[in-house]
Amino acid sequence: MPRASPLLNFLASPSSLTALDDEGWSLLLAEARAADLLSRIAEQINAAPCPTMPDKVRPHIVSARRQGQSLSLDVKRELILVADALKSVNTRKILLKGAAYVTADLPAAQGRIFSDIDLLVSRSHLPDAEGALMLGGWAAAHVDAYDQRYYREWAHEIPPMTHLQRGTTIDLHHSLVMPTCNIRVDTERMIGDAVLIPGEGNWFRLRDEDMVLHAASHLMLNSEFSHGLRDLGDIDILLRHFGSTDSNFTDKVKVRALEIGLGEIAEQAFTLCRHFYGTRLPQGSRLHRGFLIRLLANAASTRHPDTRPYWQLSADLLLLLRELSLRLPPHLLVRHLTHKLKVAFSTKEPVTP
Amino acid sequence: MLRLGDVSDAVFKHSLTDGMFRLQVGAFSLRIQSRVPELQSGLRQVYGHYPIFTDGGFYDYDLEIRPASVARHWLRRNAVFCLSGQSPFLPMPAENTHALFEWGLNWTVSSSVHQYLMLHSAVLEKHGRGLLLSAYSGSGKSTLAAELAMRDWRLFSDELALLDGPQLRLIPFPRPVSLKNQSIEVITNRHQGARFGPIARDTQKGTIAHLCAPNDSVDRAHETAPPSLIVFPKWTAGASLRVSPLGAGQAAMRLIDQAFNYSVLGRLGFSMLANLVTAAKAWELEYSNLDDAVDALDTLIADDA
Repeated sequence: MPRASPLLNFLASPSSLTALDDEGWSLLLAEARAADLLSRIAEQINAAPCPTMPDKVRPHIVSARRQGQSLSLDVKRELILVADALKSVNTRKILLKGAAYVTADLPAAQGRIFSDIDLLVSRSHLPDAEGALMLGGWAAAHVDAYDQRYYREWAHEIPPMTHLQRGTTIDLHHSLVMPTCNIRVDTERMIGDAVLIPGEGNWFRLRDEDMVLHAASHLMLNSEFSHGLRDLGDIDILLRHFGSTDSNFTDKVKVRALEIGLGEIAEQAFTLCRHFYGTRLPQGSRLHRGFLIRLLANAASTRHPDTRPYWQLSADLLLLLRELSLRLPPHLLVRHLTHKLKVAFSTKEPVTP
Repeated sequence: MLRLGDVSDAVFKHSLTDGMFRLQVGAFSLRIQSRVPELQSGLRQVYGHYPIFTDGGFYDYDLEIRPASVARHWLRRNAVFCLSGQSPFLPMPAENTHALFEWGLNWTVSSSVHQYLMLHSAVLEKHGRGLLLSAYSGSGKSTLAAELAMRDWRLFSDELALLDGPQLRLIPFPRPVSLKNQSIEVITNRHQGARFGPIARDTQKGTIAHLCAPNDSVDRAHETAPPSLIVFPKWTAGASLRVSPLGAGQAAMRLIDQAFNYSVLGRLGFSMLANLVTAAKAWELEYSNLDDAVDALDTLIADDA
């Protein structure tokens, strides 16, 4: 049986730290490292120090905070260059997720570790934006013919572009979910309602409710559950932050979700947020139960070998199949899986680091 | 204090498989888990003198070496390195398990310990004064570090200079010195007492052997030292000895080039580096004969009173 998880206990109830012994603190750090949450919990612990924290933990907190803060600076610096490259493209340039949190100085940015800058432009301006980024020094990484077609015909983004000198990566999106997806989302409407971020760069972000909904749809439709706890944490922090000035905020998110086609997805995400973070939901909220939510909770949970749920690997696999079936209609799904199986079984030699 | 060399095979293997084994390397406590026999014997050979615990307790990093997969286990045995359950590298053949462990540990520390300024540099100490040997790989840095360690210098690290805080202390992280190809023979021939861990052949870097850290360096791993000498060594076949001073600015630029986390530390990184090149004199050292190089370093460190 997996051990009790100090990380899950902390996320649900920060005061649980006082119950940890030395080895419990080690496990907390290890779990947070595995979930890419170390910098975020370091910021939390720094803001609300725990009197019983062993001295040996302090260097880890210092280190993780430095890493998170330097990442924020790097992103801000990089975005100056991205804005410059895109200045000839005459459309709303919308930052998504991590880059948006950092630029808009939202609390979800604190200690958030991410590797790519996500950008959204309307589909009609996609070729302009791609061309401008290429002139700025970003080039698509090597993608084989199949993947190229997958991205160009079916996906909601183009292949990731990496800067030739600095190695920074941009994911350029034209839609928030795959156009082939069963779930239709009104991306143009979300682009139209985006708000200008004050400050340099003329960047836009999705409006408050849409930020939450995008975080939810990204998690539920992309099966990147290795970052599940972090992404649910984003949603929890956004809800608490926007809710602090608008007590009806969560209700507004639900109304908006129905308008743009993400009603079900939003409810599932909120159920999971409540499960892991104790997020306060409005009275009468529908909490999902059943097999799917249990699968999602397994996959989004801690991924450390000592504490992860017993069925996590099976849940990952089932959710991957579910995600593909949501994303691709059956004939494309069969083609995609056949191709990926062929690739998986072609021989690859191990490489030394 | 319990050392790895003191415990029975049964106790060692048991603690290694049930997650209770802790290896103390300098200031770091490592939880190591493995069922792979090559790692068990490799740790015995290389870390016999290191303090350990077999009953759990605090750890800084949890490392695991595990078989790559069931299929790989039977067809061609491979091993995977994991930090906190995540595997950053591709599997390696099981016979190179120990090298994988050493590289994995280097990667773990160099990507995690931003409480220190980390420079890619060998560090040794004599007369209470620290020497940084900074160079690109292939310039003979590790061979020179090994030679010094086998004489009367105390080994801090052959790869990682860890500098702590405003006081600018060098933190020992005594680990085996990684020697490549001909360097292995050079050190073996010069020092009968040199002990090595398992040899890894056919790696990307050629043949690798890990020279065990001297016992004295392991015993005194808690004694920090101030940096007092920065040397950029370069081995050139047939060259006569050349020792020339290097300006502080030049030295700083070269160290930045070899830093792991200079940019992560931001302003602090800049001020620490500026203090480092102010506190320690920098030299270029070109040599073809190891004895000449050692004599030159002995003179420089003695003069630096």
